[in-house]
Amino acid sequence: MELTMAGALNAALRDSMRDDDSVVVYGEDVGRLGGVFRITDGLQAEMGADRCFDTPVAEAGIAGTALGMALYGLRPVVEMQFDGFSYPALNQVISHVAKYRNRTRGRVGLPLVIRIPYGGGIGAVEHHSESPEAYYAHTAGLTVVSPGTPADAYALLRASIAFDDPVIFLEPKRRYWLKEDLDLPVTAPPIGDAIVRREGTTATVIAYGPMVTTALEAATRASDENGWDLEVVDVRTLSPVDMDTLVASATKTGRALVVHEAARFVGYGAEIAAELSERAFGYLAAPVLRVTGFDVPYPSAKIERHFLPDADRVLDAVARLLEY
Amino acid sequence: MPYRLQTKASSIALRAAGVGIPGIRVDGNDVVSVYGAVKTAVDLARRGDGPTLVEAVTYRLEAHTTADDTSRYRSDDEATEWRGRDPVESFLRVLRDGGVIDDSFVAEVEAEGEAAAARMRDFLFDAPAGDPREMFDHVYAARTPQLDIERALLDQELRAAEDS
Repeated sequence: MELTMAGALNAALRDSMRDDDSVVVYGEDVGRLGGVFRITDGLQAEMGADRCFDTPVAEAGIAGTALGMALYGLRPVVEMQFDGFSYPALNQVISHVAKYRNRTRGRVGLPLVIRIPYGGGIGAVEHHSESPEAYYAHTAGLTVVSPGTPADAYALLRASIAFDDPVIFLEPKRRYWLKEDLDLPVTAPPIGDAIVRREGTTATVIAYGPMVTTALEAATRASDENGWDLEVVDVRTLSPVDMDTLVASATKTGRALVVHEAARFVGYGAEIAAELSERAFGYLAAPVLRVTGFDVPYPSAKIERHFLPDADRVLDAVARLLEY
Repeated sequence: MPYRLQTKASSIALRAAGVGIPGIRVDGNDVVSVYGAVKTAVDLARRGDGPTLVEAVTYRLEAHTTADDTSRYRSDDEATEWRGRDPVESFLRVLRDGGVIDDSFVAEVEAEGEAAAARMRDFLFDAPAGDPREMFDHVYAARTPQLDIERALLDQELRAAEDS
């Protein structure tokens, strides 16, 4: 059946709750309202208010209680209503959630998931369009996942809920309405695996989350307009990253770029570019390029299209890779 | 979400005790009570006696945003009940009953209010999007070399778009 990414996420939560009584879902407005994006729609009605409930507007409390519930033996799946609201919880996440496994010398893991709708492109106001992936990926102990397709949204969320360490699950909110024909329960490669979404020979475009669609659009246009055959790799798990798949692709095509909405400086793409330089240098015909948001606070809705990387910018970067 | 789901405390004003300042809870829909509470707080502050936490209890009659669907989390009855306690309406009654204002004054103020709202709407609808290059200009007191480079890239893109 045809499902949107939002519908796939909703189905993943419902199926995980049905299969495992220890899964609890909560956050701001996730119960009665079903979440501002309706990702938790109908869960409270079906599972009861003990397993899907509303919390005060207190993100540090949401993260801190998730830690406690995970210690107690539950599998909490909590929602930060928007990316910009996840920052008050960073102290809990960085200082405690991420460190617990290591602090207990491996004895106590925290099977919890923090879902965060992230990124721009929906015409939102300040604090509603941020791309915080680098903060999380930089923090040892966190597993960071971001799906780019409805199928992956379902499969990766289910895998994240079943995962025995804390997962930061970054949902590309501008792709919530992206549709795909799916037969649930859909399966996909596990957390930790990148996927080649489109095979190609001219250059490798590395993307994740909202930019997977953009990269594939660029690849289609490159084929139609320029005769370029782009390979698109979907990172899927930002940490730990499947560097082998990225290196293999860059080695094959000899040219690579990374695209993300987040700012360029010390962004996720810098790490990928550095690793590719170290491991595939001899195979590269050009330096690894980054196509990113600018190093500014996310701009107002009326001009956000000038901030967000699009297919044009990806194709410009491919041209630079080829001209080098 | 309703107050009872936000906290088990009977009052937010009680939190003032935790930081050693006075807290006052008032009916936020009663203009005179709000004035009294805020006046007390402002007088204390002006005397140099520190801040006061004023909790004015009220209700959001309209939806949170144009994307919000209030029917998913509250009953019409609840909103209707609070609409009956609209502070503007009830204070108007007090002023009229007391002979402080008459109908023509009310009509005049309402017309002024409508005109001000219309001006604001027009201003916002007509407001230009602004030059996208400005996004680089106020990140720091002075634009960094890195931002200069990024601004030049966007400038090039915008000029190319104008030419085509």
